[in-house]
Parts: sequence; C-alpha cells; structure tokens
Amino acid sequence: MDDVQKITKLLSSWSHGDVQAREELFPLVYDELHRLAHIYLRRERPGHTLQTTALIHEAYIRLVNHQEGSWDSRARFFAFAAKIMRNILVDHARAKQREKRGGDILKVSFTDLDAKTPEIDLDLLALNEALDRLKGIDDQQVRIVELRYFGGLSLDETADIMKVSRATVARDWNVARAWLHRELTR
Amino acid sequence: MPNENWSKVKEIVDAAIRREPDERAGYLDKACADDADLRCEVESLLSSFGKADGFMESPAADLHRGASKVKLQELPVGQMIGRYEVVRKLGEGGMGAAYLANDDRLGRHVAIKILNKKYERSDANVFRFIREARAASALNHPNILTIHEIDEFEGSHYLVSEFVEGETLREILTKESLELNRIIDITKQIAAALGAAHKARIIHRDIKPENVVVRDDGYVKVLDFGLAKLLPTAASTLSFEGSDEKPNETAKGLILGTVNYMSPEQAQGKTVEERTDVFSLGVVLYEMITGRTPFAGDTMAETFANVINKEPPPIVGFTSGVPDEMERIVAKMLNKDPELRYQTMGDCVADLKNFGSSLEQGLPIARTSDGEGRKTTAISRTTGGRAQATGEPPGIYAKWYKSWPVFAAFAVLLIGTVGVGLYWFRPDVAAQQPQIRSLAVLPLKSLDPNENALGFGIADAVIRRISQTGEMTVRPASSVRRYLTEDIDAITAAKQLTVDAVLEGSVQRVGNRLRIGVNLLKADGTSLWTDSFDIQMTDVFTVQDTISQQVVSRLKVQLTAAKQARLSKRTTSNPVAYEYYTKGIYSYDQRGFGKEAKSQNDATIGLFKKAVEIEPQYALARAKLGEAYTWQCVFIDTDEQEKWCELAEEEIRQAGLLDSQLAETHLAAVWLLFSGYGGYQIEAAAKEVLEAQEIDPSIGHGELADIYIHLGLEDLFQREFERSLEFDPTSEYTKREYMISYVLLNRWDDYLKIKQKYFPNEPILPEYYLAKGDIATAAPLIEKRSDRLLYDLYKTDGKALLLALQGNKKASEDLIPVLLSQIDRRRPDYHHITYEFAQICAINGNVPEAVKWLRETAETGNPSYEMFARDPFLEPIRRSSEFAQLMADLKPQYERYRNEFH
Repeated sequence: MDDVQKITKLLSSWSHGDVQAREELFPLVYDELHRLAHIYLRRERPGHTLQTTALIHEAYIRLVNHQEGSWDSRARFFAFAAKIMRNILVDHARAKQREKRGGDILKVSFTDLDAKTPEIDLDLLALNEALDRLKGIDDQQVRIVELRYFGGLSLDETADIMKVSRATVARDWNVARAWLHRELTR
Repeated sequence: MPNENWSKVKEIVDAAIRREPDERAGYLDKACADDADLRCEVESLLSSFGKADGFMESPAADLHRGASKVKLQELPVGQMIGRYEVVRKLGEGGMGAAYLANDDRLGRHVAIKILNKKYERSDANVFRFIREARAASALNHPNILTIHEIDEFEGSHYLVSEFVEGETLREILTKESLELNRIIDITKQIAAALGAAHKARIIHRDIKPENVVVRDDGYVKVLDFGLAKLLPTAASTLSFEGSDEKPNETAKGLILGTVNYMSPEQAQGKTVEERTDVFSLGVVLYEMITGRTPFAGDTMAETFANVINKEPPPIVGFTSGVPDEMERIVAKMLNKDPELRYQTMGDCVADLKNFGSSLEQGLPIARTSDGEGRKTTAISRTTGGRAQATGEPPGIYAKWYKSWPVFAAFAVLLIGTVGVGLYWFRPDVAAQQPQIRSLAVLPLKSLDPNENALGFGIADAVIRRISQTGEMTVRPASSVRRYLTEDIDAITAAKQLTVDAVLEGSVQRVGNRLRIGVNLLKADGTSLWTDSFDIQMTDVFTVQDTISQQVVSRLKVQLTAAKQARLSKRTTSNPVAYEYYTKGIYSYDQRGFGKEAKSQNDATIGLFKKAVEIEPQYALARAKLGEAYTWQCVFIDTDEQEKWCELAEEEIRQAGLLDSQLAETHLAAVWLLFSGYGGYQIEAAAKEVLEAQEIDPSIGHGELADIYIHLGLEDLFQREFERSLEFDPTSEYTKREYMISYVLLNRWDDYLKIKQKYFPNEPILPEYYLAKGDIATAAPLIEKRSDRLLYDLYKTDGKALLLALQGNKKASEDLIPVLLSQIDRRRPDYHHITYEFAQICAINGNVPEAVKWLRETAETGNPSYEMFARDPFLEPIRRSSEFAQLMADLKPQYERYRNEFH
C-alpha cells in the first residue's frame, strides 16, 4: 500500500473514531508538509514564503485520493494539517530559541497605536502555551485559532470546516485574540 | 465544552465590539446587570481587544513578512509608515492628510500623502489612481514633484514624494501681487511641467494655485499629477449647487475652488485632454495678473455657467499696464473651443518665452502667431484692493531661464538615440564615485502582473549584456526574479544581494507603447542615473542598448571594442518574437524536477516555440528552446527521453548555425551531452560550459561544479561553487547543491560544515550518523522516511544501507531489485542510486556485486575516481583484485580529466 492509500485509509479510520489512526497519520502528514516546505524553498519560488494555505492544499491533493476523500475527510484533513502546522512552527521557534540567534524569523511585531505602547514581539512559544491554557476553557476556540492562524484559512473556510456559522467563527476568533493578547502581555 | 459563564463572556464581548464605543458602557450595564466579576472580565477582554489590532491577523507561517498593522487615522510623531518616520502633519487636503516624514535610510525628508478612504470607492478607481500616479512617478522633470513611491498601508494608499520647502501659489497670491516677469516665469515653469507630462500622455486635470509650490529660490514644482481623477466628477459636484460655502474653506469649498479652474469641456463632463490643462493654466495666469479668477460666480451653478458660456472679463478692466500680447496669450489659453487654444504646451511656452525675453530686453515681441508686439516692463492693478505692483528691473529670475538650455541639450542628445521624453540627472554625482564592482539589475516592475515577463525580460537582457563584458559581477536573473513579486525597495535589495549598485525600474504598456523608467543607485542610496523612456514596443531593443550603455558608463567601466560589441549585440529585432521569448525565460526560470514540473516546462517550450516560429532566425530563442527540451528529456520526462532529446539536439544545432557566439547555445548542450541519451559525454559537457564562460564569465559555474563532481575532480568542484556564490551569494539553490554535493561524494565532515554554515536549522541527515558509525541515532530517522527514492537528495531512503550496516546482508541486498524497479536508468540520479547499491554490497563483503555496481555507476556518468578511492564504506572490498582492476581501468581516464581541466 503506498502512502497515499495509507493516508486515505487512516483518515477514514480516524473519521470513524479510531484514535490510533490519528497517531499513525501524524508522522506521514508531518513529513509530507515538511517535504513540501522544503521543495518550496529549493525551487526558489518567488517570495520564498511558506504560503500556508497553498502548502496545505498541495499536501491534501498529494496525500488524499480525490475520489475517496469525502467532504468530511477533507474537513478533518484541514483541521489536522492546521494542528500539524502549529507543531511545525512551534518546533521551529523552539529550535530558533535554542540557537539564540536569528530568532526573529518567527516573531512578529505589532504596534499598538491606541495605547502608544512600544512594539511587542509575538512569541510563538508563549502563544503555544497560552493556547494550551485556552483549550481548558474552550476547545472550539483553539480549533478556530489553529485553522485561521496556523492553517491560514479564511473565516468562511473555517466556518465550513467547523460546521458552524461564520458569525460564530468571527465571535470566537475575536474573543480568542483578545484573550490571547491579554495572556501574552500580562 | 466551555462553561456557561465563558459562553456568556464571549457573547457580551462580541456584542460590545459591534457597538459604537460610546454605546458600550450602557450596553454593559444592562448585559452584566450586577455581576461585577462578569463585568470586570468583559471589560478586561474589551481593553485587550482594543490593543490587539494586527495581532495574529496574518497566518503564523507568514510571520517573517512581518508588516505591522496600524490604523491610519491621525498619525502620531514617530509613527512608522513603511520605512518612513512621521515628523509632523503638513496639512489636510481634499484627498487626505499629508505628513512630513524622515527617510532614515536615505537621510532625507519626504512628504507622505495618505489618501482618504472615501476616494477609494472601487477597485477600478484605486487601480486607475495607482496607474496614473505610477506613470506620473516615472515623470522626471525638474518642475514636477518627484514621487518616490506609492504603497498601501492598512488598506489606505499613500504616496511618498520629495518634500519641497516653499509656499503654494495660493499662499503667495493671498499675500502679494506678482510682478509680470515673475508671473511669466511661474507660468512657463508650470507649462514646462505640463508639457513634459503631456508627452508621456498624462493630463493633470486639476491645475490650480493650490497644486503649485514655489520654492524660496523661485523654482516651481507642480503637484498631484493624476490625482484629480479621484475627485468627484463635474456631475457629482453639481449636487452642491446652492451651497453658500466660501471658496477654499472646506471640502465643499475645495470643489468650488476647483470649478473655478475647470475647462468648459470638463464642466460639461466631456473628454479631457491636453488642451484642458492649457485652459486651467490660463485661469491661473489670469488670476496671477488680476487677482481674481475669470469665471467666478456667486454660486457654483453660476460658475459652471460662466465657464461654459461667458467670455472672461478683459484683463485691462482690472489691471493697467498689461501689454496686449499678454492679454492675447491669456485669451488664447481661455478659448472655449479647444481647437482655438494653444494645441500644445510647447506652443504656449514659446509665446511666453518670446514675450518674456522681449520684456527683459525691451524689444518688440516675437511671436509664434499673429499679434502686435508691445514693450512693457510692469503692470499695475486697478481693482481688486491690492497694492500696486512696482516696476522692478527684470533679471531677478533670469537665472532660471539659463538652466533651460541645459535640459534642452540633454533632451536633444537623447532624442537622437531613442526618442526619449525626459531626462534629468546630476553630473556632479557621477564624477566622484568609488569603484563599483558588482551590480544587480532588478526586474522592471509593472502594475499589471501579466507584464511581469516583460519587466523580467528587459532586466534579463541588460544582465546578459553587462555580464558578457566580464568587467562587472552582475547578479543572474534567477536571483533577482523574486523582487518582481516581493515588495522590497532597491536599496534593501542591494543589501540582500550584496552589490555595490542596483538598477531598478518600472514598465507600463499603453497600447503599443511602453513607458519605462529606470533608476541606477549606489547601495548607499545615491542616485547615479535616472531616465525614462516613452517608446514604441519596436524600440524596446534600443532601450535595452541604451540602458546597458548608460549603466556601464555611469559605473565607469572601461570596455574594449570587442566587449563593447558584446554589450550592444542584438539578439532579435522582432518585438513579437521577443515578447514570446521573454515570457519563455520567465516561465523557464520557474522550472522544477520530475513529472509534477512537466506542465510548467511544456508551457515554457510552447512559448519559445512561438518565438522561433515567428522569427526562425532567432538564435537565442532557439538555444533556449533547446535548453528547455533538454531539461524536459533529462530532468522531467525520462519516459520519452528520446523524443525530447532529438528535438533539443536539432534546436541547439540550429542555434549554433545561426550564431556561434551565444553562451546559451553552449549551455543548452551541457545536460544533453551528460545524459544517457548523449552517451554520458561528461568531458564534452564540461568543454561546452567552458566555451559558454568564454562568452559570458558569469554563467555555468553550478553546472561545471556538478560535472567536476562526476569526473572525480573534487578540488575543482569546490572552486566552481565558490565562484557561483560570488556571482550570486543569495542563491539558496546553489548553497543547497553545494551541500548535497558533499552528500553525493560521501564527504560527511564537509557536508556538516556546509550544512551548519548555510542551513544551520535543518536536521542532520541520518546518513551522516551512519557514516560515523552511530547507527542508533540514524536508525529511527531512517525508519521514519516514507519515500523510497529521495528525489531531492539523489539518494534512496537509506533503509538498505542501514540493514547492511546492521549486519542484515540478505535483507539489504533483497531491497536492491525493489529499488531498481522504481528507477529508470535514464534518470539523472540513477548513477547515485547505483553507487549506494555498491556501498551496500561492499559493506556486505559481496565483492563481485559491489564492483559490478561501481562499474555501472562509472559507465552511467559518474566515474568518481577520487570517491571510489576514499569512501570508507568501500573499505571491505578495497583489497580485492576486482576492485584493484576497476581502479586501474578508470585511472587513465581520470588522469586525462585532471590534465585537461586543471
């Protein structure tokens, strides 16, 4: 059985509640995403940026057989891939932090104009920990953050995949951002 | 599931966000009732939300693009907009607010104008605005405010321009009345600016005293080209009819003010063209002389009616001592019928100039058209409540006339070569520059992504020409391509590419004309040369010549006659074929490996084929078509290798017949010769690269490095990679190839050194641990791999090698036929995979099999003698007679390579 068939089968088992399938899926999808990220850089595509959505879409097309992949497994795949993106990026940030140099790549600065505070660096590791805490309060919000922030999906796409309304996604997203911002600036 | 309380918090926060800030407190009073904890939590989150603007708004993986997001309302001092730091607000106009800002990098002040969102009514409108403003920014004229850049920040467009210290003509007119000499001087400078714009097909549309700045030294700058299109049209301004606003006081007043300078055709909503600006300038001139506008009415409707129907009151009714000639010029500018006005700004300037010099010299006026000359030196107003102007002697402004012949001389010079519209540079800068050794030519940017190929093509042509002189290190097209799509300014690009100088530019296509603007900068931001061209598509080759010649001369490169000839060598004269060629090289630059890259390469082939069909004599297009076919047969479609290779051969042969002095033809043949189809003619391939480098020393270093690896000349390959990196220090691709080369050569310590140098964050390959005998570390890493053939590493997944090292002889050798069934002998990585088979058999002590695979490796293009002699994995068979025989067989060939290439 090749990888594509294997992944399709695992996705299907997982969608039927097989937790073990999820564990087996992870390294396969992780490798594929990693490999694609690598190819993206190697080919020297314009921009050299990891375009999150494009990456995940490509991984999906490569990994999951079109005919067999039902809508449901597609939604699950995206949710799953977003979670993996979170892992990849957090790992990356952790590696960067260990090196203690050139660590700016995975930090973003944003300016808080109204309060006229200086720039704050977004620390992905701190964000990751804050998300783990948020999970204890509201799991749905964490999943929305993963899809939007790590998966690069739009509000509409996120709503589609979560099977909730766009308004719900917008509400959870805004409140999660406020909550996370508060956590990170404590 | 979230607890009930949290759901409530979310709902209230969400509802509060949606309310206006002043309604929030009232809402919270109700929603939280007297639950103080709830209220506290909600307010805390609302406060965080208020500060979270921009937080997490772009996806995590795009973080390193890192643009900060701020709302552009009132910008505080110190606020950064792009790389500009706000110093203070300059004012607020109809279009939006303007700020004085610091450009730290270039150490200058700039003015930033942020467009009011309400003018960004539709995408089409914004696009048109940017197009016009970009076009205007390509205008390089001393009387036109230089626009440095146009960008977007938090959804609002902003314009960065030079900062001019001076007063607007409006400010001057409100406090003094002007002397006739000065009036003529100002009018002439405005007309010169407009004339230059008209040559580039740009109409100002909104000439009025507010848009003219007069510097303290008398220099005039015209502002806001192209912006008028965003202002409400005549039709929509009519809705202000009956308004009793005073002119120039409010936004409505601004429109009123503008109506005063409108032409009849504008007021009627008809087509606006060059002569519209003539009319508006006439109004400004009239106002400068008389102190009032000619058509001003009490209401906007009356003003409209006057503009359309009423003749302007004679100047003499307001001012005494105005020569008839002045009156005639004004009347001609203000004619209701565009056909009866000055047809060009040039005609208008000519009359003003004659009139002006006759004033100065006290001579009768020479004119372009009928009229009587009068001799006058001063005017005085009889009405308007202003102080009378006195007749100061002329000559105060004469210094400004003197600069004109200089511009005229340059213009003539350039029109002689390429029909240039405008030209302006400072000769003093060019005179004192240090030696410049390296250059990057950035792709010319265009607003229309469909024109990316054109901008890339022009840059590519300039790069080819200059690098072929061998006198300058020019970054290859592949390394500058990304600047087409990335929003990075030229100075930053120069730093990233570690060059001494950078050429940036823009290209817009209007019908069959091209507008090209270029700017040559030193890495410190000093401008060495700026130029703009408005040309027919057919002249694109001439412009490439001119740009290449100018860059070389600005950078003080001395060329021999032969090199000069290379610089100006044309590859085609057919613009249509050329367009297909540029699209082809743009597409070819994005090529990949393997089947998934086939559609891209098919498209590339189609484009080059089109170019060749249109112009069969186009040697360069044939060479590139040959190269694309070669790529297809060697790296993409090995199943149909023969077909593609035959096509490649034919094109390369044709290209060689048409032009024996093309580096590209030699380079195109390299992989073809090296391939299985070409019979692994590695030596011949190397010679082709060397011949290509004779013509263009910058190219082929990566190819040559790769060939040296396969020839077993390990000292030479390093040198070539280092050279390749000298020409293109940013190339991720070259660095990766460099690293992989050590992997393929099984030189693991060197691999680690290069990896740590260029890719410190990447994990170490498990093969490294295998080579070091650390099987425990390598094993789980290898087990995790899911692809049997690692195409990007030219290796297998290493499982067989691992099994052999674990002492599992049978299992490891059993994998060989499995792997072999998956790899076509024609694939370019075949001989690296067979080398792994040899390693596996050698570890197992299987001498005959190991030697068999080594022979296969050597015969399929990888006779890497030095590696065979060195690789520790081959140690178990090294003392066998079979191995000794193999090495003896390979030695003469190896020594020949050494002699030949050292």
